This record gives sequence, structure tokens and C-alpha cells, in this order.
Amino acid sequence: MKEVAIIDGLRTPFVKAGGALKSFPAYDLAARVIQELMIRLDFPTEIIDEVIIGNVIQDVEGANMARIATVLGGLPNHVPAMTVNRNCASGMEAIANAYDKIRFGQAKVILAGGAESMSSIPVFSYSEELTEILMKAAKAKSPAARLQTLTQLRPHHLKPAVINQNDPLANMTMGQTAEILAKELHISREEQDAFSLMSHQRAIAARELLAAESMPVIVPDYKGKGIAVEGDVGPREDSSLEALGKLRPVFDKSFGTVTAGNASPVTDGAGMVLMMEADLAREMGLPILGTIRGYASAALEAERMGLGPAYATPKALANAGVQFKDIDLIEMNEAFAAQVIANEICFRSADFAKKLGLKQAIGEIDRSQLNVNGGAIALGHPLGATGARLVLTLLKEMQRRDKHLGLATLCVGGGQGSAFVLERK
Amino acid sequence: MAEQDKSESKATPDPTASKPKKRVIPVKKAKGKSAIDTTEAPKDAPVHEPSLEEQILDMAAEGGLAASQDSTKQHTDHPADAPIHEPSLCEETLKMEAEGGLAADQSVKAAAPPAAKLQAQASVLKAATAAHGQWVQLEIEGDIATAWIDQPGKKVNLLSDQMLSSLQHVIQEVNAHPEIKALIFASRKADNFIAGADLSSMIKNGFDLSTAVAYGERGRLLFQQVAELNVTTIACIHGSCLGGGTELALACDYRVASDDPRTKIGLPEVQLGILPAWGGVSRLPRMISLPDALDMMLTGRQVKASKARKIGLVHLTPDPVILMDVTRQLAKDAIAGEVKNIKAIKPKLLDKALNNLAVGQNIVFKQARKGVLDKSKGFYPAPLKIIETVQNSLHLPLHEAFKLEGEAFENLLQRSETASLMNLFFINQDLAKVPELEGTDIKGHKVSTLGVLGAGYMGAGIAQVSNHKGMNVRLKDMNYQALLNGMKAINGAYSKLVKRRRLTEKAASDSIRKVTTTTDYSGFKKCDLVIEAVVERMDVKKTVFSELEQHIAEHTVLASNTSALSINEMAAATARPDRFVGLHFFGPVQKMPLVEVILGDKTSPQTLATALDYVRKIGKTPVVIRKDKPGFVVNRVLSVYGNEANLLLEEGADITTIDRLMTDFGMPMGIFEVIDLAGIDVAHHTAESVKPLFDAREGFKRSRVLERLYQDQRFGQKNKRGYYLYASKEQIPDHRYLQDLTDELGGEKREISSEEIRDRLVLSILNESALCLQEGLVSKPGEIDIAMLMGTGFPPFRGGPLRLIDQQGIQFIVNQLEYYAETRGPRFAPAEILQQMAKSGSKFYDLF
Repeated sequence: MKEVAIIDGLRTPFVKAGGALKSFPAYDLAARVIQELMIRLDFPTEIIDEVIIGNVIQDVEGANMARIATVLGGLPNHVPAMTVNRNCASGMEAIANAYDKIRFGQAKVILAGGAESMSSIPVFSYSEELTEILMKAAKAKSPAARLQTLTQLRPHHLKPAVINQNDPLANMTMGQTAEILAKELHISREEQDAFSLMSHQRAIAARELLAAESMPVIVPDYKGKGIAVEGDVGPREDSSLEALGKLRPVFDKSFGTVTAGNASPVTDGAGMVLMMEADLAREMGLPILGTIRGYASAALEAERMGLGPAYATPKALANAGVQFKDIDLIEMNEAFAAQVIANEICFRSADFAKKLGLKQAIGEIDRSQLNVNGGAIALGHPLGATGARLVLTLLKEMQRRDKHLGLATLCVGGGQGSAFVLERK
Repeated sequence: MAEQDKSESKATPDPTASKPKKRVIPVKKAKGKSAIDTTEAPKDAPVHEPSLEEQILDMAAEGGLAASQDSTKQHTDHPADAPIHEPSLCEETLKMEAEGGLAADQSVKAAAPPAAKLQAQASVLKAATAAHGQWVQLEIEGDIATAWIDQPGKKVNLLSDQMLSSLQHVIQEVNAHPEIKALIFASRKADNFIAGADLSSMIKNGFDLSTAVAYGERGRLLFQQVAELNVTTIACIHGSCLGGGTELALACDYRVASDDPRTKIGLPEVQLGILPAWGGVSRLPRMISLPDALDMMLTGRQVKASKARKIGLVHLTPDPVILMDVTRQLAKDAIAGEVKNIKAIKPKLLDKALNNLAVGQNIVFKQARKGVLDKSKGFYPAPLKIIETVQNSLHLPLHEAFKLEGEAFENLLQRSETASLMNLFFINQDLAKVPELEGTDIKGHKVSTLGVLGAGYMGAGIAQVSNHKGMNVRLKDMNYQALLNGMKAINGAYSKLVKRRRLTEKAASDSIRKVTTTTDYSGFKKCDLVIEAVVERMDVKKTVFSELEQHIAEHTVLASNTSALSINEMAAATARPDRFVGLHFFGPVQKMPLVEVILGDKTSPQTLATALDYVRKIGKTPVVIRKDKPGFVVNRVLSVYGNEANLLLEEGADITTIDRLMTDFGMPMGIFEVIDLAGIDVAHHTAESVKPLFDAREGFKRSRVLERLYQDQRFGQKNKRGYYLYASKEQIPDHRYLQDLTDELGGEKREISSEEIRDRLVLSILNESALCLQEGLVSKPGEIDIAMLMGTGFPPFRGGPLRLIDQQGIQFIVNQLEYYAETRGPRFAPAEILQQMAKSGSKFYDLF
């Protein structure tokens, strides 16, 4: 099997939904990253075998967004592309796909990553009746018949339906799954807020480091205005325990602890990494950012999806053939502070280990090794893009610290988890 | 329509025609299919016919279709309403492919060869028949003949003597083969039907009126023969169809044009100062509505197939892939007498009234005349002549209309404006020949990716124009706020194009995507050319270039957009003076057609070639400046002109008179209006940079007016105060301020005659232009004239400063200069070159 290298990567700044990137469909965000990454690397794009991009809420007007991003990103027409979806792990899934294709010799060079325009997620839809009447009218054979169909319209038909954002399996929102974990594992509001504050403080401190992995995006409009987005907009310098403490719980107004402050904001963004057969990279004289040791996905009940990392990590470690204690750095996605803390608890719990059929607990997470440059609570969580960001951020930090092994893992809506073990030699 | 008159000839189709035909036609094969290439088929004649489909398929296979579609977008972008100068007829003229309305036929010297004489030529044609087969290949398949027009060795077909003879021959062949029931005219060229007449054949022995008139007559008669052919004639058009090409199509019974952005039909003769004299003036208004016909002929505007269909100029507009199939089917249907799929254009009631009623027609003519006078200020005789000719001939029988058409043609040929415009056409053709590259096989490096340093007014403009022509652009500035401003300007330029429907929003956004921004030098390795447009300071520019040099490829050419600083000094600061060149753009870049290409002492021919290819690719006209002297050509001549205008102010003339006299002369704007628009600060900077040049001249008097305005922070339009005051949309001359200023400067004030004002201003332009040529800044007079036309808006109908000197007589100009040198100062001393030429009696241009 071939050794698989990640050469470099790039992402857009992460911008809260409805912000500066709102007019960019996911494919456009990805296209810009692809284009800029290729320019910066001065890479011969004609040797790219495939582009794989994770994207969760797929756009009605942009089916297989990966192919659109490929062409708009300036790659040659002959480069095939596919879009993958494993919910919040989609970006990671794209990298997993690329890893498998390269290590089994089906490809040598793949651009993989993820993108999400959460600004584009529709909130309302036509009522069922309105849709039905309009469809019938469109199919009517004569103007008279069309008019007749349209006369069936009543004012109440115009009331939009609110699109159900619940996870269909658990029949609850992601926030409610976090509430379950907080309650069952007795994770206090204070603990969650403190974790969130840390995320912001670390992200603020790492502003320059994070800028090194992202590209400014200039958003001029046709009216002569516009914005230059130079960095992630989420991290707040003025964040404090006091301010966080004032926020009201969103998902359980009476007894809840999960607030907008200790959850990741809805965000737009994209990230891509360039992956290659390591030998080819060496042949081309390209420095290798890191290699992939192994990965895994796991699944659990949808109601406790936040524990995904605790399920996926042992599998990934086993696939990679390494011990948890050998891991130098961890990127665990911060969908919710409660969910990260819940994983910390499970990681060190022998009981939990037993449940998974492991002989001993996975291990104690050292916070000085966890999300050292902040996480999604500060930066945001553009669903499809996050997996790619975790891998990229982790590798860049391993490079800076000259570390050997890293773990990137996240929880996945619908009850899954994914984890990657990355290596630098 | 003509096809109805010929129905009897189509009643009996050729029996062989009913057999299904194979597509591949071996040359010279019997049984219904023969290739009458006259005597012998040329060896290189294509063995099978519909090359168009194959070309397109081939292109698609190579992935080239998208690229070529890109290139067609260029055509949709016509610069319009330039603030500094109008989209002058000249620019349009110069953009035309070789085109015109006349070419001298060496073999036909008679003033007007009658039909009998043309018949008499038949024997000659027979003798030269092998040659005809190469130019127009006649293929006969059953009862349908196709005349494939294919000028050897050229990318486009031109109606030269030879081509007209070959077409004449086709007519004879068709007449000689009664089994032919339909004749299709088609082109073998990739994206061209016929680009018009071949003007260059006209001037082999200099311009001669009777030859030119005879040539006009010949084409008109030939196309009338096409119209009178006893078979159905169809023009099958793909690509550009201009001038004489359009007139040939008009003489056909049907016109089928491919629905493709590359297909453009037009009659651009007016831009050369003439009119469509091969039957166009007479036929077009009889075929389409009068307003549409006048619009096409008066503007020279080229119409797309869809538009041509809408106005009734063409009958069918199939996809280019099936163009030939549809044309053949039409021929078959016409032969069978059952043309089905052509829908008549239903004119609107108003159009009917305007077209058919005398009152309506008068309104149209009146409007047209008014429009022409508004736009051309009466400087250009051709459009007025076209209106007059159409008005007088519209109700006459065709043969009498042709007579008026011929007379109008002859009349226009004698006008100096026409001569100037034609001279410009040849100058422009000649401009393509650059002495440094002539006769060598040096090729430029294609610029696919352009680097631009500085996202300001000029940098963003250069980036946008280049990006619009399909280039990737890497735009660098100090910070992202500056880049945002640059991107706004780029977006703004595109949104104008979108608004004017020159571009779809998708095409615009797809294009802008290729402009990427950076604050470091990442991505510059991919750049084939990097143009610097940073602040005009030598130390800054040197620093920028030395930094940049660390991040580029071996072949990358460096260019500076400086308007004044020394190219040699900048080049010397780099390790690649051979790959260094000046590219002086004019603002606004989108609208100004000129780029001065400045050679440093060490600039290599290869670098020059790259620069020239690039400038041409972005649709601009390069003029090579061979001496790295302050101001190059345009700013230098403008400085002298501006200085003289300011001196006149000091002597007591007022700005409105000065500006008006020069617009009366034909300049699009007065000099003070121009300076206010460009900005006093910019003008002052230019004046300062050319100062050493003038300081070196004995007795050169510099006005201090501009400097004073600059000191008083009257920066022109940008801060609403310059020579004029700008209140809302009005422009008010600030007489009081200027009065005070000139009083303060002292000197004698006096009443100055209009004649003196105009003379001094024009003469200062003419003399300085001659000096630029004398000093070897350029290699030939045409380069000066083009630079002045495109860079300053010098009126095209005057042909440029040097052509104006020719036209006025060099001795006369020298005399005038001497008079003013004596009375107003030695700065008017005539240039050495003028004195010598006056002595030897030579001219700048020999043609006209």
C-alpha cells in the first residue's frame, strides 16, 4: 500500500452565516480555495486525478458541487470530481476517500476538502397546498385551465412552512442532543462557559497562526461596495465568563445549560488539502506537511451523537496501530462545549471503555494538547468544511511544534463519529 | 423576391438529384457530382466538403471550443462614449479587419467596364482557370452548386482583383451548366465569410481615382450578375461578413447565417469615408426597414445573426454545426418550389409608415441627418452622402439607383477626409510591421497570466481589460483594503458591460474569478508578464522590481506603466534589462485604445514581441517608442500644446475661446477641459517630468499658469475647481480667477485673433510631432499619427498631425512656423526635418 501525504492546504476565513460570504454558494467557496491553493503552490494542475469535497446541505441549484468547484476553481476540464456526505464529517470523509484511493493505487494526486454555505440553508418553504396548486397550474394545458387551477388558491396557502431542522432519527435538534449529554454526565453551565471562553481566548491568541492557513476573500458587489474578509470573524476579544453567563439557554429554556455562547455558530466556509502519493511528492521535491496513519468512523444512537469522537477514536487508533498516549496534539470539533467535555469524560472512563469492549479507558485528554488554537465555538462550524479544517489546523500546528502524532476527530449529526490519526516524520 | 421569378427553372429537378448522396465528394467525379475546379483541381483542395462541422468537432475534441468562444467575447466589447474622446470613427476604422470598398484592378483600366467587356474577359478567365479553382472552388452535387471561397494563404477572404475574377468565373460556370438549379456561396475559412474588399491592391501604384472608380463599378456589375442568375442563390455565412462580403450576400436570393457569436454582418465602409458601393447602398434599404438600413450603413455597426434575422437581413439562423445542412435543405426546398421554414418578418405599423410613406421616410432621413450631425459635427462627409444617396435613389429603378451609388462613391473618393481615413487604414496595417521583428522568426511569449502591481486606477484598469480578454491576473497591493478598492473598480467595469448587455452576468463573474489578489509575491511564478502600476517614484519602483525579481520565472517580462520615468534606469536596477519594457497605458484603460511600448536600450526583440502580442491581444494598439525620452510621444506633444494654450492665456486670450477653437478644429475636447479631467496634479507631474527636455531648448518659453493652479490646489474635476468650476453637472469657466492669476504673472495683455490662437496651438502640435519623428522616437510617420489620434483624440478626418502637414503642404507649414518663430518666440522654429522635407519637396506619406 502506498504512503499518503498531505502537502498543504488552505481555507477561507470562517464567517458567520448571513455575513460577508452569504452570497457564495458552497461550490464558489471551494472554487476560490482550490484556485488560490494551486496558485500559491504553483502546482501543475493537470496531474490532479480527482477532486473530492464534503458538503452537507446540498444546494438544489448546485448538484455535485465538487465538480462545479473544480471547473470554476480553474482546474483542467479533465479532472473528475465528486461530492461526499457524512454530515459533519463530510470534509473528513473526502480526505478518507482520497486516502483510500491513493493508498490503493487508484490515484496519485487528489484535492480533498469540504465546503458549506450555511447562509444558503432555506428556513421556509412553500406550503404543501401552494406547491401543489402551482405545479398543477404549470402543467395545465390551456390558459383557461391554468386560471381555473389558480382560483383554488386561498390566502392561508401563502403562509410559508418552516423547514424542520430536526435530526430525523432522534427527532430533535443538535442542541437538544447536547443538552442530553450535559444532563446525563452532569456537565455544568459554568464548565461549558469556561470551555467556551478558552476557545475564544486561544483563537484570538492564534490569529496569526490561523491566518497562515486561510486566504483573505474579497467580496466586491456590483454596486461598488464590498468587504475584504481577511480572517475568521468568530473569535471575540471581549468574551468573558460574565458575558457568557448572561446568555439564556436555547434548547431547554427551563433547565438547559446549552447557550449560543457555548455552542458553535452557524458558519460559511470551505477548506481544501492537497493529497499525494508520498513517493510522488518526494520525486517532485514537494515538502510533505504530514502523512495519514489511519482513520475510522463509528456510529451510535442519534440522541447522543456528540459522543462520536469517543466511539471513533479507539477504532482509528487501532487502524493506525498507535496508542492514545502517543498522541501529541488533538483537534476535537467543538460542536458544543458540553459535547467536548462529555467526550473528555468518556475518554477517561473505564466503564465507557468496557461498553466499547476495550480493556482500559482510552485515555485522559490533556487540555494543553486539545484545540490549542481554539475551536468551532470561536471559529464556527461550517458543517462540510470542518473536517478538512481540523486536519489542516492540526497538521500546521504539529509542524510548528514539530510533533509526531496527532488526532483529529469530530461528532456527527445522526449519531456518528469520525477520527483521523496523522503523522509527521 | 427574386426566387419567385425563377420558379420555372426549378420545376424540373435534375434526375440525379433524387439519388441519395454520399457526403464525401471525390474531386472530378462524374454522375451528378463533379468538382468543377475549372481545368484541374488544386492538389491541396480538400477532398471532402463540409469542413465547418469537422472543424467544430475537432475544436470540441481538443477542448478548444470554449477557448474560441472566449475569444469571441472580445467582439462584443466596443468601447463607447469615451470621456476624453469619442469612440472616433478612426478607432472603429482601425479595428476593422482589412476591409473597404475598392481595390484597383490592374487588368481593368477602363473607366467603366460594361457587361460586354466583362464577357470579353472570359477567354482570359479560362486561361487563368487553374488559379480560380484555388480561390473559389465550385462543387456540384446534383442540381446544387457550392462556391467555396478560399483565398490561398490567408485567414480571411478578401475581394481582391483575383477573387472578383474567380467569382466571375463561377457565374460563367453556373450559366454554362443548365443542370445547376441553386448556387450556394460559402467560405472555407474558420470564422470568416468574406472580410470585404482588398484595399491594398488599390494602392500598388499609388492611389488613382479612375482605377478606384472602375473597381467600384466592376464589383457592382459582378454582384448584379449574381442577382440576375437564373438559379436560386444562397449566401451561407459563418464568421465575419463585412463590406463587399455583405454586399455579395445581399445580391443573393437567400442568406443563411450561423447562430454563433463569431458571425457578424456589417457594412463598415463609412468608417473609411466611403459607402457600400457594390450595390449595398441601393439594395439594403429595399430589403430591410429604412431605419435599420441607415443605422447599419451610417454606423458601420456589425450585427449578430439573431439581430440580422430580426431585422430581416438574413432568412435562417441555424446552429453553426448544421449550417451547411440547413443551407442545402433550403436550396432543395427552393428548387422544389416549397420553401417552408422561413417565416416572414411582420413589420410593425409604425415601421410600415416610416418605410413606405413619403412623410415617414422624410422623418427617418431628417432624424438620421440630425443624428449624424450631432455625432460627427459635420466633419465627416460619408454619412451625409449615404443619407443623401439613399434618399434620392430609394424610389428609382435599381439600375438607376446604382448610378447614383457610383456617383456618390466617386464624389467621396475625392474628399480629403476620405483620403485621411484611408491613409489611417494603411498606416494601421503598416503598424503591424515592426522593423525590429520584421524578417525574423522571433515569437513573443504568450501571456496567459498577467501580474499587476498596484490595484489603483491604472492597475485595476489594466487588470480588468486583460482579464476581460481571457487572461488570469494576479493583482498585488500593500493591503487588502487597497485590493478591495481595485476589485471594486474591476467589478464596476464589468457591471457596466453587463448593464449594456455586452456580457452576461455569468460570463462576467466567471471572468472576474480569474483575477486573484495577494499582498505578497505568491503566484508570480506563473506570470508571463508583470506590469507595475505603483506610485510614480523612481525609488519605489526600483524597490518593487528588485523584490519582484525574486519571485518570478525565467521568462517573465517586467513592464512599467510609468508615464514619465526612465525605463532604462528602472531596467538597470534589475538583473533582466533584456526582459524589461515600458507599457504606457492611458486612462481610463477601458476606453483609451493606445499603449506606448517603450524600448529600453537593452530590451530584447523577444521581449518586444511579447509586449506587442499582449497589447494587441487586449485589443489595444501598440506604438513602439524607441527612445526613452521624457513624455514619450503623447504626453510630450500634449505638454507643448498645453504650454502654448497657457501662454495664450497669459497673453490675454480666454479659456472658452481657446477650447472652442480646438473643438472646432475637430478635437473632442478643449485642452483645458482635458487637463481638468485628467487632473491638474497629473498634468503638473507630466509637465515637470518633460521640463528637462524643454529647458534644453534655446528660447523655449514655459508658462507658469499650470504650476499656479497646482499650488492653489485647483486639481480639476476631482475637486471641482480647475480652469473651470464644476457645479453639479455644469462646467463654468473661472474667468475671474484666471484673470487675477495672469495679471499677477504680469506680461503684456492684448487682443489675440482667433486665427492666431488656432495657428499657434495646431502648429505647436504639428511641429512637436515632427520633432518626435526627427529624434527617432518612432520608426515611421504613421506611428506618430496613430499615437496622436488614439492618445489625444486628434481628429481622424485630419489623419494625424503629420498627414495634416502633408495635406497643408510642408512648405506652407514651415512658412507659418517661421512667421510665429519670428513674432512669438523661437519655440516655433520649424523642426529640421520639416525644413529639409520642404526643400526636397518630399512628403510624409506617398499614397494620397
